[in-house]
Amino acid sequence: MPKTYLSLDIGKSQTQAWLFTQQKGAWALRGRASVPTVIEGDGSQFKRGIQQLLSQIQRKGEVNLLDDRGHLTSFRRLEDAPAAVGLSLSAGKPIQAALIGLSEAYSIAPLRRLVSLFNCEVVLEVNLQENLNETTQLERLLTSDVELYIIGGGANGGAQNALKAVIENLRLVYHLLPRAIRPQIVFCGNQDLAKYAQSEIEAGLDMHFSSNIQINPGQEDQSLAWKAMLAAFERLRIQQIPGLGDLLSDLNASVIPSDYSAGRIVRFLERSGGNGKGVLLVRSDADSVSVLAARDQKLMGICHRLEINDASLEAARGLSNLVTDPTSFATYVHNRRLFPDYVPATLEDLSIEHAWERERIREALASLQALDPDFGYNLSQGLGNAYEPIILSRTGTQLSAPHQGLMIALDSILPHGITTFLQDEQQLLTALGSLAPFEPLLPVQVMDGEVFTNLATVINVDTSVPEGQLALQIEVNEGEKMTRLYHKIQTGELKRIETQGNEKTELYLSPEEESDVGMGMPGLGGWVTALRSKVGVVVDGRGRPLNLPSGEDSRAKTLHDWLWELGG
Amino acid sequence: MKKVIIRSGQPVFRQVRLPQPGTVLVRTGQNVEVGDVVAEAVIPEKFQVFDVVNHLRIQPGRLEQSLKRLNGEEVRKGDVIAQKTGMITRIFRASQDGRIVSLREGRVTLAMGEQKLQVRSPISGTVVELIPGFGAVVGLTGSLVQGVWSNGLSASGSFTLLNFDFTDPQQRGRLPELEGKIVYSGAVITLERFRLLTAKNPAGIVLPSLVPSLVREALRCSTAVMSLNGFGDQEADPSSMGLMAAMQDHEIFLLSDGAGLSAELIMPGEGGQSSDLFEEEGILGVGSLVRLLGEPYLGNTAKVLELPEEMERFASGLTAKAAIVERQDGTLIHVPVANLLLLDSIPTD
Repeated sequence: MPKTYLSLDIGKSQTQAWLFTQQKGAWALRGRASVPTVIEGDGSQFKRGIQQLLSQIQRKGEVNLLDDRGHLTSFRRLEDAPAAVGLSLSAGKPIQAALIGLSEAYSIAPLRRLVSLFNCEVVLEVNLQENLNETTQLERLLTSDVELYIIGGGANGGAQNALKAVIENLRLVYHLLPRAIRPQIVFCGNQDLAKYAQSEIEAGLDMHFSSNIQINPGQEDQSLAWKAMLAAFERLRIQQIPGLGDLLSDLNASVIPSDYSAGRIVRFLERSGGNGKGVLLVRSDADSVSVLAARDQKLMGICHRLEINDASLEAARGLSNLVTDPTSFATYVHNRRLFPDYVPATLEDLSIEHAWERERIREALASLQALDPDFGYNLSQGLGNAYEPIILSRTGTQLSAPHQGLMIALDSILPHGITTFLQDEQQLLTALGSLAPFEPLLPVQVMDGEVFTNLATVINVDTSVPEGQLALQIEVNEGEKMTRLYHKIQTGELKRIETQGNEKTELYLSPEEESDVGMGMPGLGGWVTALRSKVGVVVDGRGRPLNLPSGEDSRAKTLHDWLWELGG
Repeated sequence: MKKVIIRSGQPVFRQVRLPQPGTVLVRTGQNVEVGDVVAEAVIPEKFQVFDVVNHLRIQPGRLEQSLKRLNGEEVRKGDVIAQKTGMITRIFRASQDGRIVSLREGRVTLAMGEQKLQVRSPISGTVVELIPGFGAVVGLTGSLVQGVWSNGLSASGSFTLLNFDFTDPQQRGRLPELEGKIVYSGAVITLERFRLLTAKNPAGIVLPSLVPSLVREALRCSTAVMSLNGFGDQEADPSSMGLMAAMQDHEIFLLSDGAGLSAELIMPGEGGQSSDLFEEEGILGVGSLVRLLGEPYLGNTAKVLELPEEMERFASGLTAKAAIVERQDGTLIHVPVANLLLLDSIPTD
């Protein structure tokens, strides 16, 4: 039997499994299956779901995942079981986290960035410089329903008194009010206090230590605390999800957050890219959007759930390519949240779906920017920093054709310069991330197998040339035997150049003096190679911000026309 | 496949659980009423942290001499906990009866008073299972109508199907007394009408669907609110209407799973239709009753006629697994299976 690896992702609505085997010396995806996620109840439905999933996967490859009766059993006892299992999880309510630090800039803000990869919701922040008296501080710690406490801040060898006081209070919180779900404590601050915190709090396995994430004043390294955060995450989720502990034991696996798992691969792609650009993943779920960005060897991430309110609904309605009355729009969006598997069957539903998706992505990107200013996004000006590739992924049913998905991403992200959009249709980034520690070659070889769909090469023109004036000329070379094509792009125009038939297409960009296509300076052009893709080369001369008419009808028509240009 | 149960003779179980360990006050087989305490934990009412070294300004080396009580000791209001003698004596006294729970690094922590954290049964029923140290599972058998949205509040009270024409000027201001009742209104409830209803202090309001502009108001109000179908302008299905008619003037429970989550109406006792014990889990099949989740048939009830294996392309251009269903007016339509909500109920004619 060939060596296999299994990856499982327990998502918010779907639990997916991927089986990888070696084919002709290289790792490749052998099979994929999914079942609805059920984590409520006593664990029996959860277990049944996993059994059903493993049974589907077992049929796809030469591998044993269940016992003779079709039940889950320890993989250690199974012959021909996978060599290892990677397990990621995004199901369940966000973990309620409290951040405790010595200052806003050097402790609390870095801690926010740290927890954002671990499906946490910050419910309490204790800034020790606010000089709360100890009683008030203790009351705050006691009254907030916190599942995860993270203590950061303080340079090694720095001030200790305030941290010692909060450590003492945490000891009381942990021991005086024992909870059904034992809270976890992560210490990633002043290392001189680590031993003190351990002996004071006496939380045993519920306490997790890492090096100080503040490596120098104003310089942080989140990755130092990831191991401790993963341990805390696992211990909490085992307590919260009945049946998860048994599953981990049977599979001989650990569980990590889905975003963290995908982030591993995003980070790897950035490090191995060598184009000096970052790598961006935008992953849409039924009720949230995760944005993971790696740039300058730093991983940034957020999982954002857009609140349905008048402002978000109105903003989204303005991004619809069909005019819809506010009540119908709001009704759809509210019902959509109740029924996450809903498939828009009519054009009206689809236009609302796509408009809401645009707004969800825009707000998720803006939230990551608020969390980490290094990301480089602005709601009106778009993504100022260069990212390539930009990878799009959606769990569950694909709710858009490739050109529609690209249009939504393009309008939300508003990239600058030249970039490539890929689609991770099989959500492999999450699957590969959890297996990477076991077999580092596996993600590399699987991704080499062109598992991502190349959506488009996008050329964005930043220009001060007035609307309707020439901004860029393009010469298209599709091969020696083909006639060269020439295109003129005017400001405000969106143009699609098909490349479906060619393995690669050469384009010579000749921007006007005031037009910048991302080649270093305005007016500078050159050759660009575009690989075969679903949509082709998209030249975006619409400018930043997008110039949308204020009237509802004309705005919807403009959006519709742009979509039509990309394929309807 | 999402489903809602609309049945009589339906077993219903509710877990009643403390967030932290405590004492379970019920036993298996015991009958409990709504509001009965199932479990409780005693926790300090408040804490006080006092930094002896800094507040009394004493040398850390003289701390032991200044402390008059030890960790774990009970204290009475006015007891001296720490004292600095000298030209000016400084004293820290207990402000309330309590206990010293920590004495470290020159800081004394007092736990004072006590409060009971209690969890109460939201339904009248029988304790069917104990959760040692935390609570119990309470069960009953009765009529059940599940809805898909609620504002997070639960209630109990006499059920009333409101027959009131909000559009009739003759009836203006003549809304019947609803105090303490759980009221169902099939009319489109606008913000103004909603406020008229809540002004009558009902225990709960049940609507076939909620107008989106009411969501914020419903989440803020202190009355339990439940929507059977979700949002928009939808009608209740005949099965739900039938069971709710049987609930008229009976004591029922409206139990919410949380704000924005589902809820259910429960009327204890047998009667009406009955379901088999250990019934099979509801699975979508030919003959299933379903509710349509999308426009233009939002909220319509239909029967599944066919479940083709092949995927189907819809007007939006998306492909999905389809069902052919027959609406109540006899028209046949093709709908994505994902856009159906299974009604686990006994059909009504």
